[in-house]
Amino acid sequence: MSNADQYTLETPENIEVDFELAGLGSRFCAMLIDTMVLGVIVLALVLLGVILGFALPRGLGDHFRPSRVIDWLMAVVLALVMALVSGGYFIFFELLMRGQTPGKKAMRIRVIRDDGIPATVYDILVRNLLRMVDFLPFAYALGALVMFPNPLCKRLGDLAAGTIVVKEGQLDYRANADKKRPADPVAVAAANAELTAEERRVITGFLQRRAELLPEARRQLAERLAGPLHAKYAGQYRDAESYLERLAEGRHYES
Amino acid sequence: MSLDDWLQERRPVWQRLEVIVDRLYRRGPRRTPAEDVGDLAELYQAACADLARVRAASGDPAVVAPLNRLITRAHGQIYRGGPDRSWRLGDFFFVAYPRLFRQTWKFTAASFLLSAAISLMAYSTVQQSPQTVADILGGADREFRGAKTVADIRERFGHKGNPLLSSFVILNNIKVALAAFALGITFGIGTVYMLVTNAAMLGGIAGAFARSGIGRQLWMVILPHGALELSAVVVAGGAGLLLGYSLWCPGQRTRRRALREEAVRAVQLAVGLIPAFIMAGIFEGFVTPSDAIPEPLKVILGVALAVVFWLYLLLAGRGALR
Repeated sequence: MSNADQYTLETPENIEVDFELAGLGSRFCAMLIDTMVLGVIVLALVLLGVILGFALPRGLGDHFRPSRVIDWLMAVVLALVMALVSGGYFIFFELLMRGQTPGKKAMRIRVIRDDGIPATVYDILVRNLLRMVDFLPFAYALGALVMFPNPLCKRLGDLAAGTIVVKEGQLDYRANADKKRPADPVAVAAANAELTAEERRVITGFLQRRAELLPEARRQLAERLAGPLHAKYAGQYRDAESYLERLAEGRHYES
Repeated sequence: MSLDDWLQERRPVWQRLEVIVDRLYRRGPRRTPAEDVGDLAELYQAACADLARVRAASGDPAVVAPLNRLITRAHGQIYRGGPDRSWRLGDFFFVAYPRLFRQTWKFTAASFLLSAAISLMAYSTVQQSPQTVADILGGADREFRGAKTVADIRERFGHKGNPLLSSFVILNNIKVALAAFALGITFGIGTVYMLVTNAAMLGGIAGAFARSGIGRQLWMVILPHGALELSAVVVAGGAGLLLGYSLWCPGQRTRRRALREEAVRAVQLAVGLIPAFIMAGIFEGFVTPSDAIPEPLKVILGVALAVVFWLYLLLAGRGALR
């Protein structure tokens, strides 16, 4: 299944795997969280600098001229703050957390290379140094402009580094698969050999999940699926859902 | 066997794979137990086969989606390749970096020629009409107009042994250099713009002081740290031009591929300059304003530092790969 927000890659095992791309929304939220975390860190550093600047010279007595000590402390704090603000934060965390920052972790997204392997040191450097261009002229306007038409949701930094940002939610086949006892024997069977694999997947997917859908969405989805299928395979059509059920088993000519 | 029984049977395999992959992402391969890494390939292949089978049998998204996601993550860990050799700091600075510089010297040369030409133009223009240079730079012409005195030099460059200012200067220079690289993505236009404004500023100021007859005194203050600093800025400009050039002339590659390959080289060229900027910043903070060191010696030290830098770029790392 290739949706707009999916990216399919064929592995050397001849298996196609789909990456779910993180969209503008989740990436923006991650960025907001990171900005807040960054703000807190910078604030803490400044406070630390101020407190130490006042407290230390007194404790050290007359051997050190207080102004020198304060100067040095403030220099270190200033250096850290400036490095953090000018992109060091993202580089540091993406290296440390293997493609994640605190914000990305909260949003369950991760930076990887578009050949599926983890981003290397240079990839991370490139994508984060180009952040300052993506940020232009304000608030990542250029980056968003580049991302909109890009099928892989890449900003300039991602284009240059060859990286993508993917969703990495909790793996929940345990919970989900267990409660899926064959309440719907039709769906698992899907015995109609006429159908293509793709069609079978769509139909069984719908039949298995329909109980979770809102009634209105369920009806609309069923009609959207059944319409083209009926045009292709014909058969008895009373309502969309029953047609899909019977089509799955190859009984769509029976009433 | 029904599909459900089969799923039940396979689930422990996937769970074990998931545990291993999680560990690899969290702690990295070096701190993951050997038996886990040993099992990885086999479990991964089994999971791939399972995915193919589930897709063919039912395509149930509730099973396929998480299994697919598990496999994408495992795939990344398996095909990541070995540790990046050049990222051992020693190898990077003593072998890879100077080699990279020599591979890409034409871009540094272009960056130098552009900077030198603009500096000279600004230098001579400012003698007749300071306003022209000020207009080009879009700033006030105070810097360029009127008679300059030695006190002006001191006001601009005389922050004496001040760690606060010197750490600010170092970080600002590094930021400028990295921006010169990053702006290469604008087809090099942003990089050229930065180089031109920097060079015009330097040439303009030097010209203004020369007109007042104290050019020599100015160079005495600029050269101790500036010789290395300006050299490094020129190389950073080369990194940006390299990035921009890959977009204009990708050669046989697609433009996207060229950009990506050259970006990895250009970013190394740029970040490798960080020690040079720190060195220049230390000179700016402590040597340039020092009263203890006689002026000619400061200049000699500064120029010697820059010469060492260029010799390093041209000669280091020519031996066999370690």
